[in-house]
Amino acid sequence: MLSTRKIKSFERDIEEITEALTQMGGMVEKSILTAILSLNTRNTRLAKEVIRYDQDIDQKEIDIDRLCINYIALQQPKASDLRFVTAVMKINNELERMGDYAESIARQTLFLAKKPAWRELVNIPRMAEIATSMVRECLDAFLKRDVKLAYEVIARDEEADKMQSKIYKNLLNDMLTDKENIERASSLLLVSSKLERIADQSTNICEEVIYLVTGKIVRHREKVHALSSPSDS
Amino acid sequence: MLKQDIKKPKNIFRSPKMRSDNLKAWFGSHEALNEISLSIPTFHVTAIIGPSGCGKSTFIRCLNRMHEVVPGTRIQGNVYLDEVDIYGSSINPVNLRKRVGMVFQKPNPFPTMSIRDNVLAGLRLQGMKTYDSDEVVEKALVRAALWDEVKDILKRPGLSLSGGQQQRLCIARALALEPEVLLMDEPCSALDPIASAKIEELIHELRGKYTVVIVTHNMQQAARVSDVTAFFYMGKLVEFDYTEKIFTNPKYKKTEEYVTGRFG
Amino acid sequence: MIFKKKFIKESTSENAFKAICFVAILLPILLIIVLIGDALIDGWSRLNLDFLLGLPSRKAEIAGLLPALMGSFYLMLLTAAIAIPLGLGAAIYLEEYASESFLTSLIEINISNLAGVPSIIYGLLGLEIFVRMSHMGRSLLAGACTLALLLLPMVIMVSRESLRVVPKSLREACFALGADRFQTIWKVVLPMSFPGALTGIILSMARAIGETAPLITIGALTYVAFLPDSIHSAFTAMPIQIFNWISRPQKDFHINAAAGIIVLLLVMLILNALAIWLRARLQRKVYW
Repeated sequence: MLSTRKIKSFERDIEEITEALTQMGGMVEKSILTAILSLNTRNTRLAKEVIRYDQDIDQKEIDIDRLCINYIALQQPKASDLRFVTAVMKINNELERMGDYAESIARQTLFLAKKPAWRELVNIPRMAEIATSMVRECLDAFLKRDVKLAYEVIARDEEADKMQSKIYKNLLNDMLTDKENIERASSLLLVSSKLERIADQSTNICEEVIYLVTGKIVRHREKVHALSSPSDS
Repeated sequence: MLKQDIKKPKNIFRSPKMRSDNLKAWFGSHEALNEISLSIPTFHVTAIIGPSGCGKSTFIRCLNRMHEVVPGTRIQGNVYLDEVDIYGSSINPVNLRKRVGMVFQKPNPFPTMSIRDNVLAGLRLQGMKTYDSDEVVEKALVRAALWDEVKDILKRPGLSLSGGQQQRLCIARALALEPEVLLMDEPCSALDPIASAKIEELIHELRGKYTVVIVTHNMQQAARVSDVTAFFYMGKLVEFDYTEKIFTNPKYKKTEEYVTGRFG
Repeated sequence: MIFKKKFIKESTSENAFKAICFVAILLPILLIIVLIGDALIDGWSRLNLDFLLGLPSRKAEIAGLLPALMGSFYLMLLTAAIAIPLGLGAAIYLEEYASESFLTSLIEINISNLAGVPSIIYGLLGLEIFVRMSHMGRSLLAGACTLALLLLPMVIMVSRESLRVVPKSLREACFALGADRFQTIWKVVLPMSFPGALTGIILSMARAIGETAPLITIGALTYVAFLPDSIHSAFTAMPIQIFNWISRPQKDFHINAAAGIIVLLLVMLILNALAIWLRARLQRKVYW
């Protein structure tokens, strides 16, 4: 009876941290989606909202950081608890960066809203969908400690990369056909690269999840892989 | 548990359960405490840390006048319990110790008594007729998280229990008197890590129901169990703040050196 | 094996020391065996119920030990009744209450010195204080008071020793539960130290039962043909009776003396056994 209670006292902290991080993930996801929506609908009010909302995300990051530091200082976590808290700190950091990317997408909305309306966006919203679903799934993998899901998300990064190069080709085409397009196209290029970064960082989070669950470090593996077999790519 | 309300204006020191005011103590000619002014927040866990001989044990003994048991101890200054001076002429130390219970370093159940009698010892010493003693025993043992382990062996001698169980028995013995404050003088130093963890868990459970003051030279323990922490050094109170502040960002260099283990 | 050989080889000096110590224990044992054996050989023929239950007589063959036996018994009872409360009280005062002052250390030194004072001195003291000044006469009470006086230093010392065994932590536990000093002593310290104190006291009583000098000094009778009926009546005791018999010229009385010695030794043995039994029994209640 006591032993179960013992776990509780530790888990109260872990639960609190997990909850805060989940909230953080939800905030970031919402921020990305809203930023893309504002871009799509040329809604400057929404874009401003996203920019303002980034402050909340930043504050949340600080809160989670403090929670983690207190947890380390007061509970001296060991083994899986220690991996948990270090993973949370890194994930927290990644999420905050994603928030920043959402903000910068929103700023592009403000910029593009001043320009005359252009053509309808197709690939960018689709890519945003991929990126946000990756964010959602990597957090899911974290919450469920689901290594399989984490590997799946990492695999989907390729999808995002392909989408990005497709967008890049299209926009380059636009720029080549009409000089007038250069400003707007490069702005959208920026947006797509931000989305690509978001997808990338989701895979980073997944790597943290794999470390948390298995203790294995899977970061930078593909780089090593790429160096050893250049013919692969 | 991670006290997020640090920044909130709510001040747990505002109405302290106990408070010392310029408390000084001497053993013979040795000055053990030098002008300690400390407020112990109600229903919270206060940890007192510091190197050996820094006066932390002396301090909590002054909180229930246990230092008077040791001949040659003198004190000066005031200690208040609910803003009443416990060294006032109208205060009987015997009644005071009923309200301010104490648990010691080494588990010390009475060897001549059974588990049950140990729990009731305080009440019997107080001369109280306990008609519902079964209830008292169960309640105290449940609160001390020992009931499930001993409910079938209440007649067995207190010393037949393991060290950790004995210490929880001593806590039950103190709780049976329904104290308002529970002083713990290094309650885990004679116990193995598992038993210590159980005591720590128990201290978590006591938070909110009792005002707990725990002296420990195990900093990790202080960090784990307490809400506020006082750091004593050479009979002086160096720093007193929220535990997370002490362990993440102490104000004074001496505290920093102590909690990081760079002492000397 | 090599280790063992080496060990034995190197410890010849130790073996020698062991041998000396063995002789040291052997000698007193031999002496006791000789003493008991001698008494048994001499007194065996007289050792029967008649001897135990008979009154003294001018004829050695029908002289009995009963008045002396009962005298010793009552004497011990009274002595215990006086010495135990006084001795325990003094021990409690010195251990629990007295602060460390010049006076208390003076008292302590005196008590240990008093334990070494020859018993005849106590006899003289008893004669003056109890027999003459207090007008007790040569009574059982005076004898008991004198023996109690003789025992007090020892009782105090063994009681203090047993009080000191109770750990400080238990006293603190008791104080912390709101007990005062009296309750602490009464409910915690005494129950724990009593078995130890009691065995010590019984052992010193066993010694006192053999005391002759102080009783002779205060004038215990040597020829008592009746049993003591009150604490004011005259009395005799076993060692005195034995002393009396042995100092008679008739050879037959010497046999009586030997038989008396056997009884006296038996009583002492019983008391010692009682002490051991009590300690074992009472300490089972104290769970260490």
